[in-house]
This record gives sequence, C-alpha cells and structure tokens, in this order.
Amino acid sequence: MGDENQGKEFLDSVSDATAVFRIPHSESCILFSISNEHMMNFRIWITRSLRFHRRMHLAVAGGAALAAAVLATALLTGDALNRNLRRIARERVGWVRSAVELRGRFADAALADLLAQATGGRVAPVLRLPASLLASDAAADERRVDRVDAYGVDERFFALRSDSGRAGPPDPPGVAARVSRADGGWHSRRYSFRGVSVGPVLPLASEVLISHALQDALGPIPATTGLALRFEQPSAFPGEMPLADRRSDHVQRRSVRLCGMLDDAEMGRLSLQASQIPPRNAFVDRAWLASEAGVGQRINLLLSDAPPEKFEAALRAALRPSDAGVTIVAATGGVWLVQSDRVYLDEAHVRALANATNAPVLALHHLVDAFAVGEGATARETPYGFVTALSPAADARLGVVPAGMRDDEIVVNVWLAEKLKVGAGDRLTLRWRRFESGGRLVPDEATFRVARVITMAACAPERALLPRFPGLADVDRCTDWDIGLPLDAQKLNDPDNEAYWKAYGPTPKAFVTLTAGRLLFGTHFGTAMTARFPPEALPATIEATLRRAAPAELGFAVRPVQAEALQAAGQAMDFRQLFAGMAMMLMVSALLLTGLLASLGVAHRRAEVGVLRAVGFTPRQVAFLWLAESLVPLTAGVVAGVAIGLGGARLLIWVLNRVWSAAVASAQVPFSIGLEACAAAGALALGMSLLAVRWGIAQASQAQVRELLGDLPDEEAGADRRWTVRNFAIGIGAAIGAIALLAWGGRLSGEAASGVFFGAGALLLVSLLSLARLLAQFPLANSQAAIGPARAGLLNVARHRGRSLLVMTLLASGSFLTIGTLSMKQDPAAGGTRSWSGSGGFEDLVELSIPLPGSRADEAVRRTLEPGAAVLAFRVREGEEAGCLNLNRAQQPRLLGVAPEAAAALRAFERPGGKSVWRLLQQPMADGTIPVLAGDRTTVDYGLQAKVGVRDGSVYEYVGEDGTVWRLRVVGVLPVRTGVLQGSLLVEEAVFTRLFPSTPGHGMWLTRSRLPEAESAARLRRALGRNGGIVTPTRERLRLLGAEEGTYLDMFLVLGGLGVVLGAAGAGLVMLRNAAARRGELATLRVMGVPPRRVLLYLVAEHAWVVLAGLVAGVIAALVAVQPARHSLGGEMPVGTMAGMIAAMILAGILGICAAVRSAARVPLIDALRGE
Amino acid sequence: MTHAILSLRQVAKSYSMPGSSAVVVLRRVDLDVAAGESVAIVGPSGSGKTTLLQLIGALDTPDAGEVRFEGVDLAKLPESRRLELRSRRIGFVFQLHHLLPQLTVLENALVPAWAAGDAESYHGRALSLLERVGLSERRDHRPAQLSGGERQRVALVRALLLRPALLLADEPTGSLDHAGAVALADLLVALNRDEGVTLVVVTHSRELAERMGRRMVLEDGELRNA
Repeated sequence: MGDENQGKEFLDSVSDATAVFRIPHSESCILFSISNEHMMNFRIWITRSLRFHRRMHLAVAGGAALAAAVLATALLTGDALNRNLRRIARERVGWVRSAVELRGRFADAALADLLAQATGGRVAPVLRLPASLLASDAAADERRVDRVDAYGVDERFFALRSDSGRAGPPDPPGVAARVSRADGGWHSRRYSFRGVSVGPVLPLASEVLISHALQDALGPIPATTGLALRFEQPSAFPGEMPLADRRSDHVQRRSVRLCGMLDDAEMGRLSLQASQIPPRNAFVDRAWLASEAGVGQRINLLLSDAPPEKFEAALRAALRPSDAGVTIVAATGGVWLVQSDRVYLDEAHVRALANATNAPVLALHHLVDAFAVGEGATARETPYGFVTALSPAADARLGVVPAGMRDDEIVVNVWLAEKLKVGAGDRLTLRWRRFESGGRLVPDEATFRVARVITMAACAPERALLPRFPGLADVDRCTDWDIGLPLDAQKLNDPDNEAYWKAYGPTPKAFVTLTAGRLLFGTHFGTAMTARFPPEALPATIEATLRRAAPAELGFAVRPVQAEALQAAGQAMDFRQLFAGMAMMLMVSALLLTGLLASLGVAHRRAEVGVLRAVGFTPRQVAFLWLAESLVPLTAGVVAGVAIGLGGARLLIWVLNRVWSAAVASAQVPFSIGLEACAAAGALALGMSLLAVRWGIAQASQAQVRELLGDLPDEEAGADRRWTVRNFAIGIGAAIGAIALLAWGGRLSGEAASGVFFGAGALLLVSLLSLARLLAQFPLANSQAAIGPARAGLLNVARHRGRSLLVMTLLASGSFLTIGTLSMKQDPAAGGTRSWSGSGGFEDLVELSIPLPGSRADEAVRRTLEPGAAVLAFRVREGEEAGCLNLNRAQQPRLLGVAPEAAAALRAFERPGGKSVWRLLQQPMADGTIPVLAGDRTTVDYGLQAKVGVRDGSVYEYVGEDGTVWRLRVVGVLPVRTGVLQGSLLVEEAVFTRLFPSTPGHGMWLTRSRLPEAESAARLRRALGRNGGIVTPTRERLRLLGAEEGTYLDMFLVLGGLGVVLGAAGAGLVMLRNAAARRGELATLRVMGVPPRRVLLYLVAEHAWVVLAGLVAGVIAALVAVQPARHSLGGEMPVGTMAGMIAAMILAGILGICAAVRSAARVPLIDALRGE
Repeated sequence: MTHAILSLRQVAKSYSMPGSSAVVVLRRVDLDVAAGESVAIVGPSGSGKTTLLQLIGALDTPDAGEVRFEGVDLAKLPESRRLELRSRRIGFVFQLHHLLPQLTVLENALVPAWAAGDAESYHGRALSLLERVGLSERRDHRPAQLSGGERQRVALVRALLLRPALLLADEPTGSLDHAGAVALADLLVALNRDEGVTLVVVTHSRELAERMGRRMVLEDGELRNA
C-alpha cells in the first residue's frame, strides 16, 4: 500500500479491487483504484525481505563475495601471466618474422641487401657470438657475467624493433635508451635510417649497449668501471675437424665502453629461444665485432620482417655458392676448382655436382700417420704425408687417378716410391687414425697394391689443388704443424720428411680412388673437399649447378620465428587454468559456506516458507522467490568480490614477483586488468552462488508444510532404512573406487598422478564423511545411553546432519589439501650424489659460455680434477629449456649428445641392480626415428607433455646442418622426477655429431671428484674461466629446479590453510545458529543454576565433534591418497611438521567455535527466556 | 443436515520414528460437516487434533480411510490440485499466527491472492476484511508492531481473503489472553455467519468450543460427539 493512503480512513470496498477512503479532516472521499505499485507483488516481497533480513543477506553476500574474490584473483592473475608470456614473445622477436640462424658457418653481410630488395621488407645482418662481459673496478675484483650473447648489429637491426619503419605510429616518447656515461649523466641518441627514426641508439666501435637482464646480472656500473667483452673468435672450420688448427686462440677480449641500456621493447630482449627468462644481450657495432672476431664482413644471423615463405623464396633466388663459403677458382692448368672455406664441401653441393651432366672430379685429402711396406726385419716406414682420394677420371688434367683404377690400388709419387723402395705391383700399407662420430680417433690401416709411380712433376699440380689447411699454411717445419690430430713429436722430426716438406710442402705422397678414400677417411663433416672441372667448363655453369642445392641443405633454413614464438606462448602452461584449478578448492569452500549461510537463513525463516506453501505457493515458486531475493545480495557480493579480486590479483602478482617468483620461473609480471577475466569470474561466481543458495533452500522448500509450521526446532528427523542403505552404499562404493583408483594410477606421473591424488582423495572424503553421517544417527537410535559431552556432541551432529556434514566437508577439504601438500614436500637435492638421485651421482654441472673446440675442453676438465674423477661429457645443441624453468612450451628442446657406454659405465642415474636406461639410446628403431631420452620425468610430464615409448613415444623434428629433417622419438626418460638434466633431450653422441657436425666438441660435463666439493668447483672455474666456464653444484641446480614445485606446494598449503579457516568459520556459524535456536534451552539451564561457563563449555564440546571429524577425515584421506606419489618421491615424510599443522588446524576450528560461543553468550538471560 | 462439504470415513493415521514403534494417532475417524456449519473439535493434548486438521486441510494424507472435500477424495488428488484447493477453497488459521515479519498487515493479508496470481482483484476485499476485524488503521504496520490478538486477526483475514469454503483454525485462541480470545471467538462466529464459510476449529478452549454449532471430542484416535 502506498504512502499516499497513510492516515486515510477506509470506508468501504466498492469491489474486491476498489476501495473508498475518507480524507481526514474533510468531507471528501476518494475512490481508490488499485494499481500494481500498491499491490502485494514480487517487487514488494523482494524489497521488504531484503530490508528485513539484511543481516542474513549480508552474510550470504559475503560468502558470494569470497567465492568471487577467490575466482577473480585466480583468473586475473592467470590472465596477467598468460598475457605477459605473449608480451614477452612479442618483445623477444619484435617484428622479426623470419630468421636464418647459421651454425658454424658465415655468410656475406651483403646478402641482407639482396634479400631486402627481393622481399621488399627489412633484413638485418647480424653477427652473433657467445660471450662473457667483464667489469673491473679499481677497488674490487673483476666481475664476470657469462652466457652473454654478443650481437653485432647495424641500423637495420633497430629498424626491426617496431613497425615504425612502415606505417605504424611514431615512437612513443620516453622509450629511448638511456645512454651513459662519458659525461656522467644519461642522454639519448636516436638514429635515423632512410629518413625514419628507427632506433634509440646505435653503438659505435668499442661501444656496447646492454639489455636490462645483463645490467641486472652485472650489478651497479659506476663510471670508473672498466668493461670488457670476451667472445668467441669463430672459425669456419668445425673445431673437431681433422686438419683444423688447434693451437690458435679462439677467445678474444676487447675493452668496451657502455653506451646505454636497450629496453626490452626496443629489441633488448632479442632471443630466438622460447623462454620468459630475459636474455643477457650485448649489442655492439657489427663491423667492429666482425673485424675483431676476424670474420671480415660476414655474419651468421639474418633477421627479417618478411613472411617466411617470401623470405625463403628470396633466399633461394639470391643465395650464391659464395654465401655458403664456396668459391670457384681457376687453379693450375686452368682447372676450375670448387672449394669451401669450411674445407669440406656441403653434401648438398656434392650431390648437385655429382648429378651434373659433366661430373667433376671430387677430391678428399687426409694426413696419414705412416706409409709402410714389408713386415718384420724388412719393414720400411716413413711418417706423415698427405693422401688424396680422387674420383677416377680419363682427363689427366683433373687428377692422377686414372679411369679404371681399382679401389684397392694406390698411386705413389716417386719420392715415396724411392723412400720405401716400392714399385708398381708392390703392396703399400697406409696407417692413419680413423675419425669416428663422437670425436674419437681410432688407429686403422689398409694395404693397397701400387698401381703406378708418378713423377714429382706429375703430382705437383696436386699441391695447388689442395684446400688451404690453416694449421699447415705458412708453416716452415713439420714440428710447427697445428692440426686436429695428435702428432708424434719424434716422427715429426724425421729429416727426410722435413726435407720433403721443405721441397714440396703438403704435396700428396699417394693417391687412391674417391671410393676408397671415403671408406678410409670419410667423416661426418663431409665426403669431398674440392671438385675439379676442366678448363673449358664455364664458371657460370658450375655456379648454376651449385645453386641447385636448396638453402636449407646448406644450413640456411628459414625459421618462422614470430609464428614459433606465438606458438610457444600459445601452448605454454595456461596460468588461468592453473590458478583457477588451484583456487577451486577454496572457491568451492566459499560456495559451500554460501550454501550453509543460505541454509541457515532458510532455517531461520522456515515458518515463512511454511506460510507461503500453506497459502498456495508451490515448492518451486518458493525456491524461485528465495533465489530472486538472493539475487540482489549475491550480485552485490559478486561485484564486491570481483573488486576485491582485483586487489587480490594485484597482491598475488606482487607476491609472485617477489616472494613466489619460482612459480613463474622468475618472469616479472606486470599487473593489468583483464575485463574478460573479471566478467568470467563474476558470471561464474554468481551462477555458482545461486546454485549454492538453491541447494541451501532445497530442503526447506521441499519440506512438509506441517513440519515447517510446527513448533519443533529445525532438526532433521531420524533416517529411515532406505536412507541408511543408500548412505552405506555411497560410503562403501566411494572407498572401493578410491582403492581401485590408487591401485590403477599408482604408477602414473605428472598431471595424471595429480588427478589420481585429487580423485582418490575426493572419493575417500566422500566415503569417510558418509561413514561419519551414518555414525551420527546412532545416538538418536540409542536413546537409553547416558548423556555426557561425547553423546551430547554426537546428538548435536545427528540433529543437523546436513549442516554438520557441510562443516565437516569444509574442514576436511582444507585439512586434506594441507596434509596432502605437506606430505609431498621434499628437497630434490636430498638424494645427495647417489647415482639414482636427481644428481645422477655427480657433484658439479660444468658448462661453457664460449665453446672450446675439439677435445681441449675435455682435457681441461679432466686435467683439473684428479685422475679417476668421474666425468660425463655432453655435446650441446642449444635449444629451448623443456622443464619447469621455462613457461613456454618448448618447440625444439635443448639436445645433449652423450656416449651411452660412458654414462652406463659411470652408472649415472641408475639404481644398484637396476636396468640401465642408457641402452635405449642405441635401440634399433623400425621406423627410422632416432631414439632419445628425456632429462627427467618433469621434462616429459610438464615441459613437453610428451609420450614415452619405443613405439609410441612423442616425436620431435630437428633440422640437421645439412637440411635433413631428423625425427627424434622419446623412447625413455632418466628415472628421476627432478634431475640436473631437466629440460633436455639426450641422444647418442655418434648420432648427435652426424646431425650437427659443426658443434665444437663437448660443452657440458657432469663431474664427481674426490677433492673437496668447494675445491673441485674452484679449480674448474679457474681452468675454464676464460671460456666463461660455469660450475654449478648439482645440489644447487636441483634446488633451483625444485623451487617451482616447492612454491606451488606452498601455495596449496596457504590455500589449504584458508580452507581450514573457512571451515572453522562455518563451524562457528553453525554453532551460532544452533545456539540461537536453543537459546531458551540454554537459558533454562542457567536458570536451573548451571554456571554459564559450563553451559558454554558444553556447547563447545558438542560442536568440537564436527571439527574433529572433519579434520580427521581430511587427514586420513590425504595420507592414503598421497601414497602412490610418496612411493615415487621416496624420502621421509615431515611427520613433525604435519603433527604441528594438524594441531594448528584443530586449534583454528575450536577457536572458530569459541568465538561463536562468546557471541552467543552475550544474549541476556531474560531476553533468551522471553524468546522461549 | 444439508449437503456435507466435508466428509471423513474411517480415517487412520500413525507416525513411525526411527528406533521406536509406530505411534497410532488416529484409528477410525468419521465426520461429516455441512456447508456453513461450524464445528469444534476438542480433546486432550496429543490426541491427534492437529493431525486431523492437517488431513482435512490437505496438508497430509491418511494411512487409511478417505477425506472428501466437496465430494473429492483429497488423497487421490495430485499435489498440484491439493495445492490449488489449499490456495482457493481452504483457509488456515494457526495457533501461532505465522505472519511474514517483513510485510505490512495489508501485504500479509494479500499473500494468498498474490500466490493465486491475483492480488490486484482482492485489494478491496483485504481492506474490507481488515476494517471488519478492526485493523484498517493498522494496515501499514508490521506484525512486530501488533499485539498477539491483532496478529491472529490478521491471520484470520489472510485465511478468509479468497473466500474459502472451509476455514480450519488450529487453537486460534491458544496464544491470546481471555479478552482477546473472546473477541476472536466473536469474530469467527460472525464470519461464519456473514461469510457463509464452514468452520472447523480445533481448540482446548471450552468457551470457543461452545460458540460453535457442533462440538466433537477426539480421544483414543476416535471422534465422537461431545
């Protein structure tokens, strides 16, 4: 009824819908026709109920707010993390869509211009070298930052940092790099390219621009600090290649001047590896770096904003043989010689040449250890000399191996023939070291029949047709030879040989067929070193033949880096899902609390339900009314919750950036408001809250009207037989299900194991809580039993089984998560150096920032440690970390080449008496794939999410240096959950060298020494310092790897603790409601003289049962469900911590009840009695 | 006797509690009530008076026998029809008024019409009935602002709003003082007379029972004339 009729006197109703009112103090009457706004209607019900029951609604809104806040925090945080990964992906490649990464080879920088012209895009030629940056202050020791990528760049590189060179927006102010330091202050210097401002700063010669990550690693750089860049001086020769020089210094150190820091958004974060960890980049002038590194104008990285397909087509058209280091030169006698600056011709070129119409003569050269004839006392031998293998040719201008010469025949020059006193038809033995994949040199010999003896004049042209071996060029004495083979100093001093060298230099002493030469001296580096064309051949034709080789086959594979980056970020761990999953338990608890509050509210208003039902509302209509009424506070609560969630997300991100940084692998995450996440959290929380309220009112809305309107308290009736049987069946069924799940999933790992833990845990909780509910009805049945606190408590549970069960569920969920998490916490380094632990039995992990070619690094490592020290060496093909330190999904994981026999001999990662996993690396594969092992279980389960198996293991494709696509199948995994080799795939070393022959020797070692740990590490650091040797104790590495898991477990602990707090709050609320319902009963006790404290203690004792039952159920479920995971983890459970945690949880629950009891005790006695 | 609006034949009802034997509340109850008649049912506490009223009011169904209202066996009706009967044809007054505390007096009176989806049509009647019970001045008050007797009168208006054929009152004066009880009894008798509503009252009050046209005693699960 509207306010306008207030005070008016009712006279009569003209009809049911019309009334007559007299206006006070007048004779006038009005006919009042009823309109909706004066009617009892839906709106009035809502507004009146909301106002009248505001406290109750406020409580429900609080529950909904909590659920929404938890969900919003989770989704917003996850969203921010996901967005951050995409941002990092964009930043690290800028506008680079295509890249050609040359490994172990170089191309002319001019190629970039040709490609830019052909594609119409921007192409930057870059020289990238592994480096270390050193800072030295007068007062302090030299600081060294390893694993630095030195990029030699020019203005074209900075043009790729944004789209500003095209039609994009102008550079925002304030992004210019801050430039130091000559005048002590910062200033900025911008650069223009083709009239467009393209970059903030361009380093000049000897200047360096560093990334933020490098600056962070370097620490403060006062003006007095001297900086030096130590970088690899690359060689076109693979470091291990036979005949490569070994003595020359491959590391250069140059003083540099810091000219600024390059922001991440300005390409400072450039990296072609999918990782959120900011790279330590140093940008220097390309021309300067190339000059200092001795590579002329050559580069080894091309970056372009052209689409990959277009770039590849342009590359195919533009790539000349000379770009691949192949030149066509006119040699002695007009012969055209095709030679490579890498000594060996690429196999793609060899194939192209072999298939040419006029096939050339292919040549292969090798230095043999000895030429020998005869046996016993008549044996004669001369040391060292070149042997050339040639494809037999009729044209004598192209070589001395005639057409028709057999593969077991040899041509010798007259000097050798005279020296060994051999002639045509005699047998001559060659002794040499066979170069095997993996770098091993195996002594070998072969005997040939001398086909003919040629004069020195006849073989003189062969000297001119030899490729240039750096270690032999310009060398006057044999003892000065510097080649990739160990030489016998005594034999080098052979006077005759010395005389030969002086007279003829490296002129070959003997000649065999190419087939025989390949069989004897062929290596994975190549099968031919030069090709010879007759003088009448046209260089253009030869070049056309060479250009048939595809760029990818020559190592010029185009990588679609932008697409790869986005794919890696897209397939990365979905943090939104992860955090939502983690928050699920807490959110469900909040929703249960909301349902509990709604249920308590309905219990308080059950007479209202009864009246509505009695006057004709159906149960469904009543439920609808309640839901509609609840919608307003729930909406308000959810809106408030989302707002709180914004704050929560901000706080959580702050914590993730500072305290729990391991959880996000140290990625610095900026906070941003995701409207979509807010909307999703709000909608989901509202929907779930409505369901919780619907559940809360379901019982009351379905109850009999007579029960609702009765004067009995809102207690549940005793259960009937059907209910008991059903509950029993649920309890038993859930227990059987849990046992079956644990038995089936006991051997699973990763997310599947988590699923088993949570699934079995949930089933056990259902089973235990059903049992508790069954037990709760016994006190009702056994009415003869004496009343005491224990029975009174059980009676209380029985009176409100639903309510009690809900509180138990809340507490059980919290204690389940807490104890389950605690029991899974472990120190991954606890296994020490046991071979079957994560360390694999090793103390230190040694890595090089700047590679050391050949076996020099191996020798340095072994020399540094005492004889007999365990050393397991790895070849490293850099790739993406496929472990918990990388949030992106690795597309091409780091590949490690290892000798299985060596690993097995050291029993690395093997249990005593266990099967060796290393043999799997030599497993014959029926489908032509290459078997690989994953570094640990985490690599398989989380990093790659790969399948493992000889037949059905996941396959990863790698492009070898010759452009061949190799398919690597994960056939096994090192049997540790967290191991030092996490994030990598391991392949047999022999296979590795076939795939990546340019890899300069070993780059990583696992070592175990008898020396004290600190001493061995210090020695190794000293020995390898020049090459940026990084020595990490395996213990530290394991703790770093375990930090992420530990952090997530900490988060679960916090969530579990919050769950217990919510359960305690629920227990307190139930206690309050029960006390309110029974306040007359309690007041009567007080009237009868029972001390108030005793009455309250009685209440606490009654409700403590619920707390205890819930917590115990959760603890039991956790301890059982965690068993399979514990079995795989090993180690001891932290029993003391767990006991402390259980005590804390019980205390929290009791405190919740006590707080409610204190509140209940505040009701005055007289009021309580009046209420009764 | 005119045509019986309410007829009970051999009605029996018992309740079973877990862990104890069934309690027989009603054994064989027979009753005929004519349209417009007023009947008082008296009996000792626990004799089953309220149970009987709930069976008559279609709030519960008998274990045996039949309860016919306007010739229809209530037990054979689906819940929706029973609900409609309760809404349109049967009014209830309880010992405790059970007014909705958040609503005003007028709004409380109109709740049955709202439930029937026709609150607009009954607004005048609600005011008229409130005037009749002397509460038109307090139509905008909340239940908490009324005395016990006033609340019970509002409950009576609520019960009569949709012009039910049968009004069931369960100890309507049970929570009132003597004066209030007398006034309510007067009102019930007057409404029975003026509105033509059939009245079945369960009461302990001899005074109220004597104001009814017929008095019955419920004892040992059986109903007999007083």
